[in-house]
Amino acid sequence: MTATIVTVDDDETTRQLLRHRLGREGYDVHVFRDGQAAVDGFDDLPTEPDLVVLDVMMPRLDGKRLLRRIRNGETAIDPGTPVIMLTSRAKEADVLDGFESGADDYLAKPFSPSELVARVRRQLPG
Amino acid sequence: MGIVGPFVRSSLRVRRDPHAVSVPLQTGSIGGVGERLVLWTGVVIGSLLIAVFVLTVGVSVYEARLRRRREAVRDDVRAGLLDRLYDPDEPGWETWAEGMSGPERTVAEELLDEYLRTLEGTDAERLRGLGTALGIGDRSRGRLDARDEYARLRALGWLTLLRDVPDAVAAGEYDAATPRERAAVARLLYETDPEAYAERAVDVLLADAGEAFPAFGTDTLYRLATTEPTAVVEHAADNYDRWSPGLLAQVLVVCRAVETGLAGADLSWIVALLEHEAETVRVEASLTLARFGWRTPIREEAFLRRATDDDSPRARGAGYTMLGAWGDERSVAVLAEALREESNDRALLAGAEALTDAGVHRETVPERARPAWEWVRERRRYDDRARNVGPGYEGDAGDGESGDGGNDEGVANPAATDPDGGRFDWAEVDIPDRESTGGSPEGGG
Repeated sequence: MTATIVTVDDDETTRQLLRHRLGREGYDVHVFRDGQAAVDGFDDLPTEPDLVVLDVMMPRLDGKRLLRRIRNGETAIDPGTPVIMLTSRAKEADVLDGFESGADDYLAKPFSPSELVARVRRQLPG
Repeated sequence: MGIVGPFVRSSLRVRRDPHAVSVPLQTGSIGGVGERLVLWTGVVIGSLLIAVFVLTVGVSVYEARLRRRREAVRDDVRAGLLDRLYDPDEPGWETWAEGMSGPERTVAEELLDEYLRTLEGTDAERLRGLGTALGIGDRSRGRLDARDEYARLRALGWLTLLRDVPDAVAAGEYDAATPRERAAVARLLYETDPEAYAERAVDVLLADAGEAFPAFGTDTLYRLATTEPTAVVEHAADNYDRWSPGLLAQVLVVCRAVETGLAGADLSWIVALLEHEAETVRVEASLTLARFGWRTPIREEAFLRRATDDDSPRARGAGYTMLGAWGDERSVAVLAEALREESNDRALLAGAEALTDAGVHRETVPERARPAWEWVRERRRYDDRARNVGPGYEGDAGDGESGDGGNDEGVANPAATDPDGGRFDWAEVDIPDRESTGGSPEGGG
Protein backbone atom coordinates (compact mmCIF):
# COMPACT_ATOMS: atom_id res chain seq x y z
CA MET A 1 0.00 0.00 0.00
CA THR A 2 1.26 3.49 -0.89
CA ALA A 3 2.26 5.56 2.11
CA THR A 4 0.74 9.02 2.38
CA ILE A 5 3.05 11.92 3.19
CA VAL A 6 1.96 15.44 4.05
CA THR A 7 4.43 18.26 3.51
CA VAL A 8 3.81 21.69 4.97
CA ASP A 9 6.04 24.51 3.73
CA ASP A 10 5.43 28.12 2.79
CA ASP A 11 8.13 28.01 0.12
CA GLU A 12 6.81 27.09 -3.30
CA THR A 13 10.20 25.81 -4.42
CA THR A 14 10.44 23.37 -1.54
CA ARG A 15 6.82 22.28 -1.89
CA GLN A 16 7.26 21.42 -5.57
CA LEU A 17 10.58 19.75 -4.93
CA LEU A 18 9.20 17.53 -2.19
CA ARG A 19 6.08 16.69 -4.17
CA HIS A 20 8.22 15.69 -7.14
CA ARG A 21 10.98 13.84 -5.28
CA LEU A 22 8.78 11.95 -2.84
CA GLY A 23 6.23 11.32 -5.60
CA ARG A 24 8.93 9.65 -7.68
CA GLU A 25 9.59 7.35 -4.75
CA GLY A 26 5.99 6.19 -4.99
CA TYR A 27 4.54 8.09 -2.06
CA ASP A 28 1.17 9.78 -2.18
CA VAL A 29 2.17 13.38 -1.42
CA HIS A 30 -0.13 16.16 -0.22
CA VAL A 31 1.23 19.68 0.19
CA PHE A 32 0.02 22.62 2.28
CA ARG A 33 1.32 26.17 2.22
CA ASP A 34 1.26 26.80 5.98
CA GLY A 35 0.29 25.26 9.29
CA GLN A 36 -3.23 26.60 9.33
CA ALA A 37 -3.91 25.33 5.81
CA ALA A 38 -2.66 21.94 6.95
CA VAL A 39 -4.94 21.88 10.00
CA ASP A 40 -7.88 22.83 7.79
CA GLY A 41 -6.89 20.32 5.12
CA PHE A 42 -6.21 17.30 7.33
CA ASP A 43 -9.96 16.59 7.37
CA ASP A 44 -10.07 16.35 3.60
CA LEU A 45 -7.22 13.91 3.14
CA PRO A 46 -8.34 10.67 1.51
CA THR A 47 -6.32 8.64 3.99
CA GLU A 48 -4.62 9.21 7.30
CA PRO A 49 -1.06 10.47 6.63
CA ASP A 50 1.77 8.11 7.51
CA LEU A 51 4.30 10.91 7.90
CA VAL A 52 4.48 14.70 7.98
CA VAL A 53 7.38 16.81 6.68
CA LEU A 54 7.14 20.16 8.39
CA ASP A 55 8.80 23.53 7.90
CA VAL A 56 9.32 25.58 11.09
CA MET A 57 8.91 29.20 10.06
CA MET A 58 5.57 29.73 8.34
CA PRO A 59 2.89 32.40 8.40
CA ARG A 60 -0.38 32.01 10.34
CA LEU A 61 0.58 28.79 12.17
CA ASP A 62 4.26 27.88 12.38
CA GLY A 63 5.70 24.38 12.39
CA LYS A 64 6.38 24.10 16.10
CA ARG A 65 2.87 25.14 17.03
CA LEU A 66 1.40 22.78 14.44
CA LEU A 67 3.55 19.95 15.78
CA ARG A 68 2.37 20.70 19.30
CA ARG A 69 -1.25 20.60 18.14
CA ILE A 70 -0.66 17.29 16.37
CA ARG A 71 0.95 15.76 19.45
CA ASN A 72 -1.83 17.09 21.67
CA GLY A 73 -4.43 15.44 19.46
CA GLU A 74 -5.90 18.78 18.41
CA THR A 75 -5.87 17.93 14.71
CA ALA A 76 -7.59 15.31 12.61
CA ILE A 77 -4.51 13.12 12.30
CA ASP A 78 -3.02 10.54 14.64
CA PRO A 79 -0.97 12.28 17.41
CA GLY A 80 1.71 9.63 16.98
CA THR A 81 2.29 10.34 13.28
CA PRO A 82 6.05 10.62 12.60
CA VAL A 83 7.12 14.19 11.90
CA ILE A 84 10.32 15.30 10.19
CA MET A 85 11.20 18.96 10.62
CA LEU A 86 12.75 20.53 7.52
CA THR A 87 13.97 24.04 8.18
CA SER A 88 16.64 26.60 7.57
CA ARG A 89 17.03 27.04 11.33
CA ALA A 90 19.98 24.74 11.81
CA LYS A 91 21.61 25.87 15.02
CA GLU A 92 22.05 23.28 17.71
CA ALA A 93 19.51 25.04 19.93
CA ASP A 94 16.94 24.98 17.10
CA VAL A 95 17.48 21.28 16.49
CA LEU A 96 17.14 20.48 20.19
CA ASP A 97 14.09 22.69 20.35
CA GLY A 98 12.57 20.77 17.45
CA PHE A 99 13.13 17.43 19.14
CA GLU A 100 11.73 18.77 22.40
CA SER A 101 8.63 19.86 20.52
CA GLY A 102 8.08 16.26 19.51
CA ALA A 103 9.79 15.94 16.14
CA ASP A 104 11.02 12.49 15.18
CA ASP A 105 13.78 13.77 12.93
CA TYR A 106 15.29 17.08 11.88
CA LEU A 107 16.85 18.15 8.60
CA ALA A 108 18.37 21.55 7.87
CA LYS A 109 18.07 23.49 4.63
CA PRO A 110 19.79 23.48 2.25
CA PHE A 111 19.17 19.77 2.22
CA SER A 112 19.79 16.70 0.15
CA PRO A 113 16.51 15.23 -1.09
CA SER A 114 18.16 11.80 -1.19
CA GLU A 115 18.94 12.16 2.50
CA LEU A 116 15.36 13.19 3.18
CA VAL A 117 14.08 10.12 1.34
CA ALA A 118 16.36 7.93 3.45
CA ARG A 119 15.02 9.54 6.63
CA VAL A 120 11.45 9.15 5.43
CA ARG A 121 12.03 5.45 4.79
CA ARG A 122 13.46 5.04 8.26
CA GLN A 123 10.38 6.59 9.84
CA LEU A 124 7.83 4.62 7.87
CA PRO A 125 6.96 1.14 9.09
CA GLY A 126 7.76 -1.77 6.84
CA MET B 1 -24.36 89.65 -9.74
CA GLY B 2 -23.27 90.07 -6.14
CA ILE B 3 -19.78 91.50 -5.89
CA VAL B 4 -18.84 90.85 -9.51
CA GLY B 5 -21.43 93.21 -11.02
CA PRO B 6 -20.32 96.40 -9.25
CA PHE B 7 -16.69 95.53 -9.90
CA VAL B 8 -17.27 95.17 -13.69
CA ARG B 9 -19.27 98.37 -13.83
CA SER B 10 -16.58 100.22 -11.86
CA SER B 11 -13.94 98.95 -14.28
CA LEU B 12 -15.92 100.14 -17.30
CA ARG B 13 -16.38 103.54 -15.74
CA VAL B 14 -12.69 103.93 -15.22
CA ARG B 15 -11.98 103.08 -18.84
CA ARG B 16 -14.50 105.63 -20.11
CA ASP B 17 -13.38 108.39 -17.77
CA PRO B 18 -11.58 110.99 -19.98
CA HIS B 19 -9.71 112.30 -16.98
CA ALA B 20 -8.45 108.97 -16.00
CA VAL B 21 -4.71 108.58 -16.22
CA SER B 22 -3.77 106.17 -18.93
CA VAL B 23 -1.20 103.64 -17.89
CA PRO B 24 -0.03 101.77 -20.95
CA LEU B 25 0.28 98.05 -20.56
CA GLN B 26 3.88 96.93 -20.47
CA THR B 27 4.05 95.04 -23.72
CA GLY B 28 7.60 95.93 -24.61
CA SER B 29 10.21 93.44 -25.80
CA ILE B 30 11.34 92.46 -22.28
CA GLY B 31 7.84 91.54 -21.19
CA GLY B 32 7.27 89.56 -24.40
CA VAL B 33 10.43 87.53 -24.02
CA GLY B 34 9.50 86.79 -20.43
CA GLU B 35 6.05 85.58 -21.36
CA ARG B 36 7.38 83.49 -24.19
CA LEU B 37 10.05 82.04 -21.87
CA VAL B 38 7.41 81.11 -19.30
CA LEU B 39 5.25 79.68 -22.04
CA TRP B 40 8.04 77.58 -23.55
CA THR B 41 9.24 76.43 -20.15
CA GLY B 42 5.72 75.26 -19.44
CA VAL B 43 5.55 73.50 -22.77
CA VAL B 44 8.90 71.76 -22.22
CA ILE B 45 8.04 70.67 -18.66
CA GLY B 46 4.61 69.51 -19.77
CA SER B 47 6.12 67.58 -22.66
CA LEU B 48 8.67 65.98 -20.36
CA LEU B 49 5.95 64.98 -17.92
CA ILE B 50 3.90 63.50 -20.72
CA ALA B 51 6.96 61.68 -22.08
CA VAL B 52 7.83 60.29 -18.63
CA PHE B 53 4.23 59.24 -18.16
CA VAL B 54 4.09 57.52 -21.55
CA LEU B 55 7.48 55.89 -20.93
CA THR B 56 6.46 54.66 -17.49
CA VAL B 57 3.20 53.23 -18.76
CA GLY B 58 4.98 51.71 -21.75
CA VAL B 59 7.69 50.07 -19.66
CA SER B 60 5.10 48.83 -17.15
CA VAL B 61 3.00 47.31 -19.92
CA TYR B 62 6.09 45.75 -21.48
CA GLU B 63 7.26 44.34 -18.12
CA ALA B 64 3.77 43.05 -17.38
CA ARG B 65 3.70 41.28 -20.74
CA LEU B 66 7.11 39.75 -20.08
CA ARG B 67 6.01 38.70 -16.61
CA ARG B 68 2.86 37.10 -17.99
CA ARG B 69 4.86 35.25 -20.62
CA ARG B 70 7.28 34.02 -17.96
CA GLU B 71 4.51 32.99 -15.60
CA ALA B 72 2.82 31.12 -18.44
CA VAL B 73 5.88 28.90 -18.89
CA ARG B 74 7.00 28.68 -15.23
CA ASP B 75 5.18 25.46 -14.38
CA ASP B 76 6.40 23.73 -17.53
CA VAL B 77 9.98 24.83 -16.97
CA ARG B 78 9.83 23.75 -13.32
CA ALA B 79 8.44 20.37 -14.29
CA GLY B 80 11.11 20.00 -16.99
CA LEU B 81 13.82 20.93 -14.53
CA LEU B 82 12.66 18.47 -11.87
CA ASP B 83 12.09 15.69 -14.42
CA ARG B 84 15.63 16.06 -15.73
CA LEU B 85 17.08 16.48 -12.27
CA TYR B 86 15.70 13.11 -11.21
CA ASP B 87 15.97 11.38 -14.54
CA PRO B 88 17.80 8.09 -13.97
CA ASP B 89 19.70 8.71 -17.21
CA GLU B 90 21.67 11.78 -18.22
CA PRO B 91 19.72 15.01 -17.63
CA GLY B 92 20.43 16.44 -21.10
CA TRP B 93 20.72 20.03 -19.89
CA GLU B 94 22.51 21.21 -23.06
CA THR B 95 19.80 19.99 -25.41
CA TRP B 96 17.08 21.39 -23.19
CA ALA B 97 18.74 24.79 -22.86
CA GLU B 98 19.29 25.08 -26.61
CA GLY B 99 15.60 24.67 -27.29
CA MET B 100 14.45 27.28 -24.78
CA SER B 101 12.75 30.55 -25.70
CA GLY B 102 13.80 33.81 -24.07
CA PRO B 103 11.19 33.72 -21.31
CA GLU B 104 11.93 30.05 -20.66
CA ARG B 105 15.62 30.78 -20.21
CA THR B 106 14.85 33.59 -17.78
CA VAL B 107 12.54 31.37 -15.76
CA ALA B 108 15.06 28.54 -15.85
CA GLU B 109 17.70 30.87 -14.40
CA GLU B 110 15.31 32.05 -11.68
CA LEU B 111 14.41 28.49 -10.73
CA LEU B 112 18.04 27.42 -10.86
CA ASP B 113 18.90 30.19 -8.41
CA GLU B 114 16.11 29.06 -6.06
CA TYR B 115 16.90 25.37 -6.20
CA LEU B 116 20.66 25.77 -5.83
CA ARG B 117 19.98 27.66 -2.61
CA THR B 118 17.64 24.91 -1.39
CA LEU B 119 19.52 21.79 -2.42
CA GLU B 120 22.83 20.28 -1.54
CA GLY B 121 24.59 17.02 -2.20
CA THR B 122 24.40 15.09 -5.44
CA ASP B 123 21.16 16.76 -6.50
CA ALA B 124 22.73 20.20 -6.32
CA GLU B 125 25.83 18.97 -8.11
CA ARG B 126 23.75 17.59 -10.93
CA LEU B 127 21.67 20.76 -11.15
CA ARG B 128 24.80 22.89 -11.59
CA GLY B 129 25.08 21.36 -15.03
CA LEU B 130 22.07 23.44 -16.02
CA GLY B 131 23.94 26.58 -15.03
CA THR B 132 26.77 25.61 -17.34
CA ALA B 133 24.32 24.77 -20.14
CA LEU B 134 22.66 28.17 -19.77
CA GLY B 135 26.06 29.85 -19.99
CA ILE B 136 25.74 31.44 -16.56
CA GLY B 137 29.25 30.50 -15.49
CA ASP B 138 30.93 32.04 -18.53
CA ARG B 139 28.74 35.11 -18.36
CA SER B 140 29.50 35.64 -14.68
CA ARG B 141 33.23 35.31 -15.22
CA GLY B 142 33.00 38.00 -17.86
CA ARG B 143 31.16 40.31 -15.49
CA LEU B 144 33.85 40.19 -12.83
CA ASP B 145 35.47 43.09 -14.70
CA ALA B 146 32.31 45.18 -14.73
CA ARG B 147 32.57 48.73 -13.38
CA ASP B 148 29.29 48.40 -11.51
CA GLU B 149 29.91 46.81 -8.11
CA TYR B 150 26.48 45.21 -8.01
CA ALA B 151 27.09 43.53 -11.37
CA ARG B 152 30.30 42.05 -9.92
CA LEU B 153 28.48 40.98 -6.76
CA ARG B 154 25.76 39.26 -8.79
CA ALA B 155 28.43 37.48 -10.82
CA LEU B 156 30.20 36.34 -7.66
CA GLY B 157 26.88 35.16 -6.27
CA TRP B 158 26.24 32.99 -9.32
CA LEU B 159 29.78 31.61 -9.28
CA THR B 160 29.26 30.69 -5.63
CA LEU B 161 26.03 28.86 -6.41
CA LEU B 162 27.80 27.05 -9.25
CA ARG B 163 30.89 26.35 -7.08
CA ASP B 164 32.96 27.74 -9.92
CA VAL B 165 36.15 29.53 -8.83
CA PRO B 166 37.85 31.47 -11.65
CA ASP B 167 41.61 31.01 -11.85
CA ALA B 168 42.31 34.63 -10.94
CA VAL B 169 40.28 34.28 -7.74
CA ALA B 170 41.90 30.97 -6.84
CA ALA B 171 45.34 32.48 -7.38
CA GLY B 172 44.55 35.47 -5.20
CA GLU B 173 44.89 37.84 -8.14
CA TYR B 174 41.35 39.15 -8.08
CA ASP B 175 41.22 42.60 -6.51
CA ALA B 176 38.07 42.99 -4.43
CA ALA B 177 37.34 46.67 -4.01
CA THR B 178 34.88 46.86 -1.11
CA PRO B 179 34.11 44.96 2.11
CA ARG B 180 30.98 43.59 0.39
CA GLU B 181 32.99 42.31 -2.53
CA ARG B 182 35.71 40.87 -0.27
CA ALA B 183 33.00 38.99 1.61
CA ALA B 184 31.54 37.70 -1.67
CA VAL B 185 34.93 36.46 -2.88
CA ALA B 186 35.65 34.87 0.50
CA ARG B 187 32.26 33.18 0.39
CA LEU B 188 32.92 31.88 -3.14
CA LEU B 189 36.18 30.31 -2.00
CA TYR B 190 34.74 28.95 1.21
CA GLU B 191 31.58 27.44 -0.29
CA THR B 192 33.46 25.86 -3.18
CA ASP B 193 35.99 24.01 -1.06
CA PRO B 194 36.23 24.87 2.64
CA GLU B 195 39.20 22.62 3.23
CA ALA B 196 41.29 23.92 0.35
CA TYR B 197 40.34 27.58 0.39
CA ALA B 198 39.42 28.49 3.97
CA GLU B 199 42.78 30.08 4.74
CA ARG B 200 42.84 31.99 1.45
CA ALA B 201 39.28 33.14 2.12
CA VAL B 202 40.30 34.50 5.51
CA ASP B 203 43.12 36.40 3.83
CA VAL B 204 40.74 37.86 1.26
CA LEU B 205 38.22 38.85 3.90
CA LEU B 206 40.55 40.36 6.47
CA ALA B 207 43.76 41.35 4.68
CA ASP B 208 42.64 44.87 3.78
CA ALA B 209 39.74 45.10 6.17
CA GLY B 210 39.33 48.14 8.32
CA GLU B 211 35.64 48.85 8.63
CA ALA B 212 32.82 46.68 9.94
CA PHE B 213 31.26 44.20 7.55
CA PRO B 214 27.60 44.16 6.54
CA ALA B 215 25.55 41.19 7.74
CA PHE B 216 26.66 38.96 4.87
CA GLY B 217 30.31 39.64 5.64
CA THR B 218 29.81 38.92 9.33
CA ASP B 219 28.12 35.63 8.49
CA THR B 220 31.01 34.78 6.17
CA LEU B 221 33.50 35.65 8.89
CA TYR B 222 31.70 33.36 11.30
CA ARG B 223 31.65 30.47 8.84
CA LEU B 224 35.34 30.93 8.12
CA ALA B 225 36.14 31.13 11.81
CA THR B 226 34.40 27.83 12.47
CA THR B 227 36.57 26.21 9.79
CA GLU B 228 39.83 28.13 10.19
CA PRO B 229 39.75 29.82 13.62
CA THR B 230 43.50 30.12 13.93
CA ALA B 231 43.80 32.13 10.72
CA VAL B 232 41.14 34.57 11.91
CA VAL B 233 42.83 35.05 15.28
CA GLU B 234 46.25 35.49 13.69
CA HIS B 235 44.88 38.20 11.42
CA ALA B 236 43.28 39.87 14.41
CA ALA B 237 46.48 39.72 16.45
CA ASP B 238 48.43 41.32 13.58
CA ASN B 239 45.92 43.99 12.60
CA TYR B 240 43.68 44.79 15.55
CA ASP B 241 45.29 48.17 16.14
CA ARG B 242 44.23 49.47 12.73
CA TRP B 243 40.71 48.05 12.73
CA SER B 244 37.64 50.14 13.43
CA PRO B 245 35.68 49.56 16.64
CA GLY B 246 32.86 48.05 14.59
CA LEU B 247 35.10 45.46 12.96
CA LEU B 248 36.83 44.68 16.24
CA ALA B 249 33.47 44.07 17.90
CA GLN B 250 32.45 41.73 15.07
CA VAL B 251 35.70 39.76 15.24
CA LEU B 252 35.46 39.48 19.04
CA VAL B 253 31.88 38.21 18.84
CA VAL B 254 32.91 35.65 16.23
CA CYS B 255 35.92 34.51 18.28
CA ARG B 256 33.62 34.12 21.25
CA ALA B 257 31.32 31.90 19.23
CA VAL B 258 34.09 29.54 18.12
CA GLU B 259 36.28 29.60 21.18
CA THR B 260 36.71 25.84 21.32
CA GLY B 261 38.89 25.97 18.22
CA LEU B 262 41.33 28.47 19.68
CA ALA B 263 43.29 26.39 22.13
CA GLY B 264 46.78 27.73 22.44
CA ALA B 265 46.18 30.81 20.27
CA ASP B 266 47.74 34.15 21.15
CA LEU B 267 44.99 36.09 22.91
CA SER B 268 47.08 38.97 24.18
CA TRP B 269 45.41 41.26 21.63
CA ILE B 270 42.08 40.67 23.35
CA VAL B 271 43.62 41.64 26.66
CA ALA B 272 45.01 44.78 25.04
CA LEU B 273 41.53 45.65 23.79
CA LEU B 274 40.36 46.03 27.38
CA GLU B 275 42.11 49.42 27.13
CA HIS B 276 40.47 50.40 23.83
CA GLU B 277 38.89 53.83 23.68
CA ALA B 278 35.57 52.47 22.39
CA GLU B 279 33.25 51.19 25.10
CA THR B 280 31.77 48.53 22.79
CA VAL B 281 35.19 47.04 22.15
CA ARG B 282 36.03 46.92 25.87
CA VAL B 283 32.70 45.23 26.57
CA GLU B 284 33.16 42.64 23.82
CA ALA B 285 36.74 42.00 24.87
CA SER B 286 35.63 41.27 28.44
CA LEU B 287 32.83 38.98 27.30
CA THR B 288 35.20 37.17 24.94
CA LEU B 289 37.75 36.62 27.69
CA ALA B 290 34.91 35.35 29.85
CA ARG B 291 34.40 32.59 27.32
CA PHE B 292 38.08 31.70 27.10
CA GLY B 293 38.63 31.45 30.80
CA TRP B 294 41.67 32.78 32.56
CA ARG B 295 45.14 31.79 31.65
CA THR B 296 48.28 32.27 33.63
CA PRO B 297 49.70 34.92 31.26
CA ILE B 298 46.55 36.95 31.64
CA ARG B 299 46.66 36.73 35.39
CA GLU B 300 50.30 37.72 35.38
CA GLU B 301 49.31 40.91 33.65
CA ALA B 302 47.23 41.68 36.68
CA PHE B 303 44.36 43.12 34.75
CA LEU B 304 41.62 41.76 36.98
CA ARG B 305 41.18 45.01 38.83
CA ARG B 306 41.55 47.03 35.68
CA ALA B 307 38.52 45.25 34.26
CA THR B 308 36.46 46.42 37.22
CA ASP B 309 37.76 49.99 37.23
CA ASP B 310 36.38 51.06 33.86
CA ASP B 311 34.63 54.43 33.71
CA SER B 312 31.80 52.92 31.72
CA PRO B 313 29.19 51.02 33.79
CA ARG B 314 28.52 48.79 30.79
CA ALA B 315 32.18 47.86 30.48
CA ARG B 316 32.40 47.29 34.23
CA GLY B 317 29.36 45.02 33.99
CA ALA B 318 31.08 43.03 31.24
CA GLY B 319 34.17 42.83 33.43
CA TYR B 320 32.07 41.45 36.26
CA THR B 321 30.56 38.90 33.88
CA MET B 322 34.06 37.84 32.90
CA LEU B 323 35.16 37.38 36.47
CA GLY B 324 32.01 35.50 37.40
CA ALA B 325 32.41 33.24 34.38
CA TRP B 326 35.93 32.34 35.44
CA GLY B 327 34.68 31.78 38.97
CA ASP B 328 38.05 31.02 40.51
CA GLU B 329 38.79 32.21 44.01
CA ARG B 330 40.87 35.20 43.04
CA SER B 331 38.45 36.44 40.40
CA VAL B 332 35.51 36.16 42.77
CA ALA B 333 37.40 38.03 45.46
CA VAL B 334 38.11 40.90 43.06
CA LEU B 335 34.51 40.84 41.87
CA ALA B 336 33.10 40.99 45.40
CA GLU B 337 35.42 43.82 46.34
CA ALA B 338 34.46 45.82 43.25
CA LEU B 339 30.76 45.40 43.99
CA ARG B 340 31.19 46.91 47.45
CA GLU B 341 31.87 50.24 45.74
CA GLU B 342 29.65 49.86 42.68
CA SER B 343 27.30 52.80 42.30
CA ASN B 344 25.55 51.97 39.02
CA ASP B 345 22.44 49.81 39.28
CA ARG B 346 22.90 48.02 35.96
CA ALA B 347 26.51 47.24 36.69
CA LEU B 348 25.46 46.06 40.14
CA LEU B 349 22.93 43.73 38.54
CA ALA B 350 25.57 42.38 36.15
CA GLY B 351 27.81 41.82 39.16
CA ALA B 352 25.02 39.99 40.98
CA GLU B 353 24.52 37.78 37.93
CA ALA B 354 28.24 37.11 37.90
CA LEU B 355 28.26 36.21 41.59
CA THR B 356 25.38 33.84 40.97
CA ASP B 357 27.27 32.29 38.06
CA ALA B 358 30.20 31.77 40.37
CA GLY B 359 27.87 30.22 42.95
CA VAL B 360 29.11 32.14 45.96
CA HIS B 361 27.80 31.83 49.51
CA ARG B 362 25.43 34.47 50.77
CA GLU B 363 28.00 35.82 53.21
CA THR B 364 30.45 36.40 50.36
CA VAL B 365 28.00 38.71 48.60
CA PRO B 366 28.68 42.34 49.55
CA GLU B 367 25.85 44.03 51.39
CA ARG B 368 25.40 46.52 48.57
CA ALA B 369 24.86 43.78 45.98
CA ARG B 370 22.72 41.50 48.13
CA PRO B 371 19.25 42.73 47.00
CA ALA B 372 20.28 42.34 43.35
CA TRP B 373 21.77 38.93 44.10
CA GLU B 374 18.57 37.80 45.81
CA TRP B 375 16.56 39.06 42.85
CA VAL B 376 18.77 37.19 40.39
CA ARG B 377 18.47 33.97 42.36
CA GLU B 378 14.70 34.29 42.55
CA ARG B 379 14.39 35.04 38.85
CA ARG B 380 16.56 32.07 37.90
CA ARG B 381 14.62 29.80 40.21
CA TYR B 382 11.38 30.95 38.57
CA ASP B 383 12.80 30.48 35.06
CA ASP B 384 14.03 27.05 35.95
CA ARG B 385 10.64 26.00 37.28
CA ALA B 386 8.87 27.44 34.27
CA ARG B 387 11.09 25.42 31.94
CA ASN B 388 10.98 22.16 33.87
CA VAL B 389 7.40 21.33 34.56
CA GLY B 390 7.68 17.63 33.82
CA PRO B 391 7.01 14.98 36.46
CA GLY B 392 9.87 14.15 38.75
CA TYR B 393 11.61 17.47 38.41
CA GLU B 394 13.17 18.56 41.64
CA GLY B 395 15.84 20.92 40.46
CA ASP B 396 16.31 24.45 41.64
CA ALA B 397 18.69 26.19 39.32
CA GLY B 398 20.76 29.08 40.46
CA ASP B 399 20.05 28.28 44.03
CA GLY B 400 21.97 25.63 45.83
CA GLU B 401 21.11 27.75 48.86
CA SER B 402 23.76 30.26 48.13
CA GLY B 403 26.18 27.84 46.72
CA ASP B 404 25.43 24.32 47.76
CA GLY B 405 28.08 22.00 46.62
CA GLY B 406 30.57 24.72 47.17
CA ASN B 407 33.56 25.02 49.33
CA ASP B 408 34.77 26.60 52.45
CA GLU B 409 36.33 29.58 50.79
CA GLY B 410 33.01 30.98 49.84
CA VAL B 411 33.37 29.98 46.22
CA ALA B 412 30.94 27.40 45.05
CA ASN B 413 31.61 26.83 41.42
CA PRO B 414 29.52 23.81 40.45
CA ALA B 415 31.89 23.01 37.61
CA ALA B 416 34.75 22.93 40.04
CA THR B 417 33.13 20.31 42.16
CA ASP B 418 33.63 16.74 41.19
CA PRO B 419 30.76 14.25 41.15
CA ASP B 420 31.95 12.63 44.34
CA GLY B 421 31.65 15.80 46.29
CA GLY B 422 35.32 16.58 46.34
CA ARG B 423 36.94 19.63 44.86
CA PHE B 424 39.25 20.20 41.99
CA ASP B 425 42.15 22.49 42.53
CA TRP B 426 41.17 25.96 41.31
CA ALA B 427 44.54 26.48 39.73
CA GLU B 428 43.94 23.46 37.55
CA VAL B 429 40.58 24.60 36.28
CA ASP B 430 40.78 27.25 33.61
CA ILE B 431 37.24 27.29 32.36
CA PRO B 432 34.07 26.83 34.32
CA ASP B 433 31.86 24.59 32.24
CA ARG B 434 28.39 25.85 32.87
CA GLU B 435 25.40 26.50 30.72
CA SER B 436 25.21 30.19 31.40
CA THR B 437 28.65 30.96 30.09
CA GLY B 438 29.44 27.98 27.95
CA GLY B 439 33.07 28.02 29.04
CA SER B 440 35.53 25.95 27.14
CA PRO B 441 37.97 23.41 28.48
CA GLU B 442 41.00 24.91 26.82
CA GLY B 443 43.45 27.34 28.19
CA GLY B 444 46.57 26.89 30.18
CA GLY B 445 46.64 27.54 33.87
